[in-house]
Amino acid sequence: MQEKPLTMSNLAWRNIERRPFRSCCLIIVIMLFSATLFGGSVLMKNLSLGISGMADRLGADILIVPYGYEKNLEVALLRGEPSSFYLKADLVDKLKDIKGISAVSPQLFIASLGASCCSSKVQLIGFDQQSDFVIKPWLQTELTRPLTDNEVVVGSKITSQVGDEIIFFNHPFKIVAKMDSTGMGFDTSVFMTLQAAHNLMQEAGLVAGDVDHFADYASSIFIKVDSDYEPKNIVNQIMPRYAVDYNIDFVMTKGMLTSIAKWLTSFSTLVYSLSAIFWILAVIVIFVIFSATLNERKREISLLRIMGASRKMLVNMLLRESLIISALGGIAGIVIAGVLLYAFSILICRSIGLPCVNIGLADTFYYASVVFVLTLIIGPLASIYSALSITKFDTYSTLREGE
Amino acid sequence: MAIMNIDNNNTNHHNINNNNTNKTHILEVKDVSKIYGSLHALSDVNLTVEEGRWLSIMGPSGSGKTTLMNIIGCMDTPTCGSVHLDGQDITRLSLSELTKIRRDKIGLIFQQFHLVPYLTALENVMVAQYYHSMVDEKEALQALDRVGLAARAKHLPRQLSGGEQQRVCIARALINYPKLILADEPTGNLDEANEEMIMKLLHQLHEEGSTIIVVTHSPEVSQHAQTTVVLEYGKVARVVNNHID
Repeated sequence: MQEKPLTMSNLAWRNIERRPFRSCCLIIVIMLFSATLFGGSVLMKNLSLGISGMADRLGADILIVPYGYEKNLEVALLRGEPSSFYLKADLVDKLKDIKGISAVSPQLFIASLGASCCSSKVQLIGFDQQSDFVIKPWLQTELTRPLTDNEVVVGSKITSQVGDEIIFFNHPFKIVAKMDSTGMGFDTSVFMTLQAAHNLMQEAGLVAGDVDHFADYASSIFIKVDSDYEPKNIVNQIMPRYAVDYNIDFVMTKGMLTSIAKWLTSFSTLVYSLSAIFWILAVIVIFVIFSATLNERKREISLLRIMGASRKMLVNMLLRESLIISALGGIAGIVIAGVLLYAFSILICRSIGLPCVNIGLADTFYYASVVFVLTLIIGPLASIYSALSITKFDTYSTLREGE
Repeated sequence: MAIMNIDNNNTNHHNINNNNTNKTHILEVKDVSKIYGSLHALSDVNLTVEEGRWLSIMGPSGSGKTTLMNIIGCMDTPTCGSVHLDGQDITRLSLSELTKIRRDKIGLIFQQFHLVPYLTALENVMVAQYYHSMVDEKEALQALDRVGLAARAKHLPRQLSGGEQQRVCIARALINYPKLILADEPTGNLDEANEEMIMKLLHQLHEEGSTIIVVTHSPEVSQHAQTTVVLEYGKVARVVNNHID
């Protein structure tokens, strides 16, 4: 019958075990800190990755939209919130003459009605297969032939699979390909030929008036700028020539991210402030509880002192006790935040309304380590005063108190 | 029973020993006083105890029994005078040095047992080993066996009777082979049957050569000792030889 070896940590652990309520409360307070800091940090990193890589993932440097629809385009691209807006597509041919543009491709956005694939409206995007440089790089498997007007490619978060049929505006489409995760609104969009999109516009009566010219419409024109040129200079060339005639505006993909970056800064301030508050709260609570149990533990400490425990040994035992509590709270917080992030990452990103990309294992481990170290400091820091003062009193008279 | 009255002269030195032996002195208390403000808890106490003796210290409440025990047990230091334990002057040692002496040379038995509530009987014995040197479970179990509690080794203090808890306390006091066993009212919380059992154990230890000092207010417990030192008002009032030698 082998007893568990008696060690300093074991003694500290026994103390934690025999006060389950107190220990659980302390662990929960510490857990709040570690979960907030770890969860918040990983989420911020996910968002940051999602945003910082977006310009590259989008592939375009300048987006041309109808005047006043910049925000609509942003939300469509970032969050996949369906939107419909139009400009005349003949601008595409005119832009080809401008020096410094390496690629131009129009896209037509249609906000669908409820479709069989989706629980909510999705963004339908008609793209020009010949000039496209945005959609093709994201296809999971390369299409061996061009899309027909009855076929679609779906974003990674659309639940329907390749081979399924999907209906928009009473028109059935066959899914022939699925895209990789882009971390953008593309993940919840459905892509079809420009012609198919034009047909849907016509059938759905989305543009009033000159119905004969549906084929001349696009929602946005994606421009890739030659690496030797600045996107700003290209805009300066286009603007005086076509801005008024076509009633257009420009969205610089990098500029579009500035506002998001600002929001992210506010979010990170909130997360770090909350973490700091929880950290201080944890230190205060542990300090108060450890100090409050000073009297309760006087006899126990006196007894150990009388049995030969040095002051250093007892301080060590008390600090270990708080260290174990910190470690348990830290691990619990990191695990809980990790599980929640993993299980609800899509939902969280959607509710925040920003693209996010899950960080890698190495980054996750790095954040977990930093948070864990910060958590480990809490217990010993908060209990050092109590630990030092609890060993100062007169041992035997304390032990005999009340006899 | 013959009683030897000692002159209540503060300068007298009370030798608690066999007349015909050359045993070394385990304890020498010389002119020890302990003063708290205006209170003289001990005044010029002198005692010498030979190795292997059983001494009891008696006296009413406030007579200075506990103060003397604290000083002998390295839990306090005298205001003046000197105390030598096993040849070492413990009078002016630091707290950590006193802790080391207490750990190495003294086995303490308490009235209230004072077991660590969240450790089993066996662990309570092992914890004394732990703070002394190293844990040896087999030896701890043997110590419990010696006090008849091997079968209760896995029990927590609350699962043991008062007598059993005191026996664990004795096993714990013995585990590090102390030079001196210091018992403070060891039967004060026990019924008659358990008191008898504990005294039997102390007799066994004494027969095996242990030096025992029992602090008690009970004349019955005191009579088991070879010598009784009676304290009154912080002074040695008399030394009584119980003729058990």
